[in-house]
Amino acid sequence: MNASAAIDRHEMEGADGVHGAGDAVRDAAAAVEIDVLATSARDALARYVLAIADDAMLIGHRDSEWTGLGPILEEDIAFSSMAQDEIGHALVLYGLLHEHFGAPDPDDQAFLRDAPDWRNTVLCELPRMDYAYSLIRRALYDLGAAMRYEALTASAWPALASAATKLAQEKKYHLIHDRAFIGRLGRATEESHDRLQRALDTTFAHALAMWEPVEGESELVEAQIVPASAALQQRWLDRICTFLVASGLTPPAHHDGAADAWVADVAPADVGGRKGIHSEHLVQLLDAMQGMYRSEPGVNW
Amino acid sequence: MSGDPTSRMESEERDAAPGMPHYTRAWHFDPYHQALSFARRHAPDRSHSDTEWLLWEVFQQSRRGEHHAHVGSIHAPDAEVALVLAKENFARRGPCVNLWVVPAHLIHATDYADADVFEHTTDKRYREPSGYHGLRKAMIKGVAADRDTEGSVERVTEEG
Repeated sequence: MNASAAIDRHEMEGADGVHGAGDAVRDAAAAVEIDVLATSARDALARYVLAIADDAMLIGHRDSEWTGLGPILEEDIAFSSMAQDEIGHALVLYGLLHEHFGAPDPDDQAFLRDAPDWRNTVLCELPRMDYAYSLIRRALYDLGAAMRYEALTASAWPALASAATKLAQEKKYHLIHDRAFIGRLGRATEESHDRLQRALDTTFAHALAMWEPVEGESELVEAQIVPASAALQQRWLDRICTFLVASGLTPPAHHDGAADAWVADVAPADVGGRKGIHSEHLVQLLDAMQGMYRSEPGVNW
Repeated sequence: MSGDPTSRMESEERDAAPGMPHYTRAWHFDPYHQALSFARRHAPDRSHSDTEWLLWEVFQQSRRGEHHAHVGSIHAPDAEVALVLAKENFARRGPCVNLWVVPAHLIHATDYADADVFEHTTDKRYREPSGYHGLRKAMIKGVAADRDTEGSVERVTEEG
């Protein structure tokens, strides 16, 4: 097999890149600066950015828990490095909130908020469990985030479009990584297949909840600032299911031939993260993640 | 060891929902103890032939046109995974535009016992580029180069 061809071509991206032509908010939307927006739209936009920032921050923290415990040394390093990428993405997005919405600085956003103030989807706060679970969660999240960022590159708010361009570029490697590992482990041995399948069965419903819209999203969609979550969810579902089947796994969904679309067989689980409704795992995560910062406010390390 | 969550985890594991991976309910985050107990439970006798992956040597190109330089080695089951892992293991900081991975067993090497063949026991300065110092200038200007510099090689070239 020609390895360089293989790394260029991956099903998770689809034939036309991470997003289909229709995924973009809309081509060449006229630039909108946020000070012209109605207060309700501004608030919705701040909620939206906080939601996707919190997703990145928490999956980054969870996956960083693998540092030193990875299945093999090289993957331990790669997985940890990708976890750091996510924390870097959160930093970019918290920075937008700080600069344009007067929100606290990124450190305070990450380390001083209590659980009810977080807007991440529950998927990203759940314990890392075994490596199969963390790997499947990454794949479900990575493709979703990649497609979302890709769509946001056409946002009418230039600051968000510019940030999304940087983040989308870094997601490309994450998809390559996920495909390389899941594509092999899905078919390698009975144990590797069964572990991934069990993880998929556990986490798929939580991944669907990733597309829970923030309050007021429709106003932002109308202003061409963000893509509609429902439409993005369908495209994500089509692509992730195709990828999982190609990897020898069975997503809890079926393909509707007439509509040529995948339909989930499970309902989204633990919806409400975008409103601040979280599992007890988030409290435990925040205890661990924020303990140092809170014990010594303003500490440098 | 006090504070070691292992015993607590094992009793609570039995209560975990069927089909769920282990150590979920028993979540007790303490990176140090977590690592210790994990290692204790999973370390003994874990050597399987399917974990003994090929060794690959990794070469990194920092800019187009530059040569690839050896940066280290990694284990991977095949070339694609080797490239995926090489990216994060070696190219996550410095500039990189291209990576090569080569199975280590395909690389042939000289023996250190023969290292004496590389030693220079006689004066070989005449073979070094510095021996030609001034040549280009002499050819362009068509004038004799400074006879005080570098000696015979320069004179021979000018005369020939």
